Amino acid sequence: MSSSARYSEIPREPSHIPTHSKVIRKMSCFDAREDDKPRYSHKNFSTNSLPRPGKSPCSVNELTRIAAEDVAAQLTIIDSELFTKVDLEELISCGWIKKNKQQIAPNVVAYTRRFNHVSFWVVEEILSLETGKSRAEVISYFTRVSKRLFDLNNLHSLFAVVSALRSASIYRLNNTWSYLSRKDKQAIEKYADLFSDKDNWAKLREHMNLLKLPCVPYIGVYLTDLVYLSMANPSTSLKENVAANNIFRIVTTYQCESSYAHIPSDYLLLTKLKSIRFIDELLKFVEDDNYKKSLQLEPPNSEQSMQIQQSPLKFIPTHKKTNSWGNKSKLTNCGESSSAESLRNLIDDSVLEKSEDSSGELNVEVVSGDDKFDIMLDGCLRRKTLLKNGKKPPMAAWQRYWVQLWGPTLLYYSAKSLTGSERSDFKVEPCKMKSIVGWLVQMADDPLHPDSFHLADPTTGTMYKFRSGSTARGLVWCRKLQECQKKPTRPTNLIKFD
Amino acid sequence: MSSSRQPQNNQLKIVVVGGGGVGKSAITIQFIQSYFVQDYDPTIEDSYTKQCVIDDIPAKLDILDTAGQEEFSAMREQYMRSGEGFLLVFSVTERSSFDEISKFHRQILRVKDRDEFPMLIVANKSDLELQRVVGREEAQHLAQQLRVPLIECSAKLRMNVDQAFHELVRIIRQFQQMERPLMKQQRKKNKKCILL
Repeated sequence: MSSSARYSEIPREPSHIPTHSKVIRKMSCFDAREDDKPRYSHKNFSTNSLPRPGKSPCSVNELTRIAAEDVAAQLTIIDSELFTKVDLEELISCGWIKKNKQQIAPNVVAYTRRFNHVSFWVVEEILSLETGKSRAEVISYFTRVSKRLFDLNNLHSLFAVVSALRSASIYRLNNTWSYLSRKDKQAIEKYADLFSDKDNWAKLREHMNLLKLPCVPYIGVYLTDLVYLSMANPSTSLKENVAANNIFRIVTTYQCESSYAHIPSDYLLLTKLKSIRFIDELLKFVEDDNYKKSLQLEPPNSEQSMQIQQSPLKFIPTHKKTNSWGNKSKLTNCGESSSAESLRNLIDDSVLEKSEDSSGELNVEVVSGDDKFDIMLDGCLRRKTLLKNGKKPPMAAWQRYWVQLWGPTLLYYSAKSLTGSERSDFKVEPCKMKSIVGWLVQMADDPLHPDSFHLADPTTGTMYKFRSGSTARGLVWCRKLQECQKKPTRPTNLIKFD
Repeated sequence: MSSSRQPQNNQLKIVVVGGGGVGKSAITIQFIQSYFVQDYDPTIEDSYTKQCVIDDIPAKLDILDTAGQEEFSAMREQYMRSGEGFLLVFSVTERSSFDEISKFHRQILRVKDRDEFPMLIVANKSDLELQRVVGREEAQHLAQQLRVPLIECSAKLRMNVDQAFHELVRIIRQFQQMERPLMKQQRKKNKKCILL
């Protein structure tokens, strides 16, 4: 199964739609994202945000203008404060694994959440940038933050940052990583190695034993140890257990003898970093969302796709799911889905008959055996936002995109030049990927522009108007969109070989 | 960037995943403790390794169980990357733990960047028949859907605990054997496939 299929397992009722709009980040800071993603947060909480940079999607993140050392230092102040609050009783009772953990182990929970929030924030900061080079700059920035965290013995945030850099969404960005210096990569490798679970976290344990206080520890390993100790000795309290007491002693020492008072607190930055917060129940959607974003930024196997681009006649697909993704987007990228290309069977490469819908450069229908694959349609469209989250945008302009309909997903490629409607006038990499499941489609009923149609997402109250250039094409788009939005999100390119 | 193949030796890295309170640690400890009997110390290096012989082939199992660290969800993908096989544990007495299985499944495939990976779903606490809220058929249905085998077990009664680990080792071996020749074949096969 490809990953797009797995997304379909997420219930689609409104309360579970894993789109950005549903994932409400309570506050946001350093936001350099495009306006395209509805985040209620800006409106509600923008007071804490730093001035946002211009619209250019490639502009370097606002965050990186702040010294990495300062960010690391302020993160440490926050972490240290949270860590000191952790009460031994919470640990003795193993309260954080109980159902009512919020009540009986609130400080362990808060400290843990901070870890996740910092980590997700790092992922989002990286993914907020459109080009591989700018993303690499942010990764490099976080490498510098990591270095400082390491020097400060803030293992809590250091592990959070390392986890972000090693998360599926970031780790897979080959193009981005290719811009990173060897030095940075080695540094990340070194920190990741420190947190390796190998030999029961041996490296981390040793490092913690040897370091000189102050320190903000990563307490996860202790938590596991305590769970195991209480499991192995169910009849006795952890208080009576020697190994557990040893852990309590270490934690207390860290708490009492670690002081970061020498770091001056920077109120503004501190506030901003404190405001990194997500709603925990929605974190899993943030994770899914980030992964989707990652796929959109660097469609899988772009390396292979580049080969295809150089020699369009040579085609090297494989059966890994990722490759299929890459093939899909890449073929259109090099403009091969034009009418000149015959339709081919997915399995044996045989030429297929064109479907009735094939008109002009628009349609490609792929049918294979008795398995019907989703229709793909692409072409130049102009788009205007009519409604965004139920509100009329203050500024709405027509934007030209190369749009691909791929199963229930629309891929947008931004324009390279001011005019032109050929594939080559648009960028190779898609800039947005949107699922249109549950969206409404209809012709716009606009006598002045008979080629226009509307596409609306009733759950978020977002509506776009598209112009396709000709009435016939508009109708084809409308029909195809209608067909696709209804379909279950089965991957268009799922090929089974069993 | 992702590679799941490790040098061919007998050491296998098994990762136990599942929500909090499903009994991951109980399963792991039951499996390990038949070897380390008294004065169990979870902090030493080989607390979670076990040598065993499965189908006449010796194996050194290196088990990673992050019981107690479930809430550190952001570090999950980092440790999943090193796993060669996964036990996906849920408790038959807790619906939410069952619901999480497909989430873990999806996450593993994502990290591994593959369509399939050695995994085994473990329905724990199956001794608690009266408190059971996840039916056998339902679990089987999910297993079929995810194409991952399922085993019912009870850490408390030490029922099917060893079997679960052994079965996973078999699945890993099978997978690793299948993978190697496939890598070569794939290139030939590729020419047959084209997408437009």
